[in-house]
Amino acid sequence: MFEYIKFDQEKGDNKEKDVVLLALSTCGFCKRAIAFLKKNRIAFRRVYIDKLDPEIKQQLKDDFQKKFHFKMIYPLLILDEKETVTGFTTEKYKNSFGITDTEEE
Amino acid sequence: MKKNRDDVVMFVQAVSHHQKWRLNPDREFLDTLIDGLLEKHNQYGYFLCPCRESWNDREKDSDVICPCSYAQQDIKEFGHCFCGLYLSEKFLKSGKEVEGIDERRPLDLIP
Repeated sequence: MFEYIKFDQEKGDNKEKDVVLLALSTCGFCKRAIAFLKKNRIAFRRVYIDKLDPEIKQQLKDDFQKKFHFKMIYPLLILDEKETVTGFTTEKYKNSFGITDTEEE
Repeated sequence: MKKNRDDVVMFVQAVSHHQKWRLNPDREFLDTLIDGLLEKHNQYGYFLCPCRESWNDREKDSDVICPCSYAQQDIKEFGHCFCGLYLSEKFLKSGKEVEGIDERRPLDLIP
């Protein structure tokens, strides 16, 4: 999916899921999402939508809309090319990766 | 006209004072949003919400120019605005950290 996008690859030990993060470079919650993934050593691919060439961005939006049928709201996490998580809350992210409080500590 | 960081700080302070809101006390989070507003302003010519995308059209973006049209309702309901810049006095006193909230902007207005 989105083969034409040049993602930044963030390394991590946890590779259980294929994780793609679509984010805005200016958004505080997007930074929190990135920090959460890094802290929990989750491998993921990231792209800042606002830094993309307008034509590529439009193609990505069209493809996203075709597959998931909703508008992109950031941060937007795509798991295994089928599950999406919009916005960032610690609880949503913990649930998405099956992280318990004990594990996080 | 291009703005600098001090202009943005003065702008958000003026908005929060006028609306009787409070700025997010998390320095790092606040800095991200101030830098974001500065970048958006110098790119588009207006203070587009740093957590939303632009249509590249001031009129179509008008509902998400800071403070956005949804801030009042979001602050009332959740204690802070969509991007977490402005907080209610009550939310600030609670000591809670801002968390992502649902987008109130109608879907047909999202680029």
